[in-house]
Amino acid sequence: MQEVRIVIIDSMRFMRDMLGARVRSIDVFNLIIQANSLEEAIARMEGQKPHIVLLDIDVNSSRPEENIARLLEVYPDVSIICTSHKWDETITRIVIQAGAKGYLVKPFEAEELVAAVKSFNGPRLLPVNEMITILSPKGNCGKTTLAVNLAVGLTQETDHLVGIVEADFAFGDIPVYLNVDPLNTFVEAVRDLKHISTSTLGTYLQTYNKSIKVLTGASRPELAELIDVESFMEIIRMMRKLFRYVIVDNAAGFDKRTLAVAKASDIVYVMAAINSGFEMEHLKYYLNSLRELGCQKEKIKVILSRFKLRGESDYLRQLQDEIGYPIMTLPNQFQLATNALNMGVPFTINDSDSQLAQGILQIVDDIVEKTSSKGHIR
Amino acid sequence: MAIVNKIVQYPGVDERSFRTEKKGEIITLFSTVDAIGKSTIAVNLATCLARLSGEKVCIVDADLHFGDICRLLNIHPRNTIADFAERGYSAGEAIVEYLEKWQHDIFVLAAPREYAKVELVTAAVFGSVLSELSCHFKYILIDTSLGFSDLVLSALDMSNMILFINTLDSISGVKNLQKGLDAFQGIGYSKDKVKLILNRYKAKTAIGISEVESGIGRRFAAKVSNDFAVAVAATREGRPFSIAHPDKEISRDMLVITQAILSGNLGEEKTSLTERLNRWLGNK
Repeated sequence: MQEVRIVIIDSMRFMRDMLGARVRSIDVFNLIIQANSLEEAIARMEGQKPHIVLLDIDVNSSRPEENIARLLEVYPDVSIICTSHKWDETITRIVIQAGAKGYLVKPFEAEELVAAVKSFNGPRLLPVNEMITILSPKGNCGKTTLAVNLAVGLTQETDHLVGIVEADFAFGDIPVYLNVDPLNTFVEAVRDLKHISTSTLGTYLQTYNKSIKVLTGASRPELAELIDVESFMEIIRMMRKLFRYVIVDNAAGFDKRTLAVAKASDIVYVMAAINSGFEMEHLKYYLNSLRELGCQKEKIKVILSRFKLRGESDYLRQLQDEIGYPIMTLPNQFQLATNALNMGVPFTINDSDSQLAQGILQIVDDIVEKTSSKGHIR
Repeated sequence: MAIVNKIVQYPGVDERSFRTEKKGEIITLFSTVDAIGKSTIAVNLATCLARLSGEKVCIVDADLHFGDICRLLNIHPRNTIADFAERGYSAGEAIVEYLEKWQHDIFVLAAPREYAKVELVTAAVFGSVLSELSCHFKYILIDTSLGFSDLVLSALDMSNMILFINTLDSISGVKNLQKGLDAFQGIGYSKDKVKLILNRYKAKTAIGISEVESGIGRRFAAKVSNDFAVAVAATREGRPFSIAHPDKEISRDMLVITQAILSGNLGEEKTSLTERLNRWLGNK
């Protein structure tokens, strides 16, 4: 596999070192230059064939679009990702217009950088893998139903392996949905993390069928606290090496682990159910907060469940206008979903003709289409 | 102390008339499944408690990110618990200045409106809010977010009674009911402190009450009927159904629960006639 050659331009020494360490933590990344000014970088890049430049927007204290133009003038083939210590929608727009491929809030995780590189289909060199994270402001809106049925759908439509991560550590229901009986959970994996590698993580996973495996949350709510962000993300990185698709089912609301995994994901589904009428307020608050916390808008997709085809289309339009995101809907088949849960068999298996299953399979098609356009598939 | 000396400027609120001799009773609404009617029960219980006891009731919206209490009562709060945490707490201001008044006897401490301010509401601030409120109100109802966050744990610890709200929609819900009960036992709460409430009673669920009760080894202390239409209508009106639709079964259920709370026998098993007879006859 060819390496991805990376340049970091940042005037802060400490930040440069920190980002450098994260870049180096990904096998295919080769950090070739760390420079503290644009001119220094441009001089040193000669003959080095860089692929990606991480450019701090405040470097040279001039306007970031001028730096981008200057860089592209000399090296028209590099992909530029701007970095900044804070999220700023206006500046993001300016730098993208100037030709940057992305915008990351520092300090970012290595996985976020991987996701950003993949999102603009930069050098087609990264191991192809998609991480799909499912979030919601409030619970009981169908996250786990979506997670397990997406997994089944993806294995039906492709020949790839799917790993499900239950990141609703305290009250996750994946074992009930898939009728598996976990021997080991996240808690044991975190406990043994020092001794685990990608090749041995398998013993902590539950096998659902030959294509789907699950890493479940904690067996008791009080154990959920033992799973720290760093260990969680370390395990996520291993999962990504094992599976073509990794689906992460989260607890409702905000959690440090949830935010870390969302930032590192390729697709983030934010779900809400049509319920009391407050879902609009909750969605607005949640989406705004995600953005403030540095989750890229481009990868967020909103799904509204329990949607009644008749009589709610006006409401849907109003909701789309209010929140500023296009919304996908899943039809209201509460009984079907509940029966599937109670029996431990996803409805995409037994009732794949149902409207709800069809709705989810449409999302599966979207994912497959998006990922197959990335060229090489393992 | 600043709190005592302060003349309260909040319109319609005279702090002195608020102070109760005894510490108020703190009741927390808890669940391990989201969106099953906790807040709806909270506002209805508040109105019933106020009506039947003649006392003032305070609702604390401790679902800090997604609290709906104000929306359910159609209140547009001027102040929230985050404002108190930000300004009032260190300045020693009285918490009652930060309450919103609904009708004459229900008060609400609103949930924050901005993500950035939520973290100001630490468990320590929250604890002091509760103990201060218990000097002013006979009844304090706390609506919580799902599960056992630090904040929820401090609310549970300070509570005289926990109403653990459940529905019988699915196996996973019942599994999480059991997880919650196990956790309460692990923390060391008495069975008396935790009352199981069944919401959406008589909904078409695949799982029966008796199966669940024998499975978990506990009885539901009270049941609230399933009337989704009335609950949704009341939500849209911004008025609790106990007030907007008092003649509905769901409203009568709330009155029954309230009466049981006031008389201190919520969830107490009625002694059978045989048991009573045996006792009076001196038999064991």
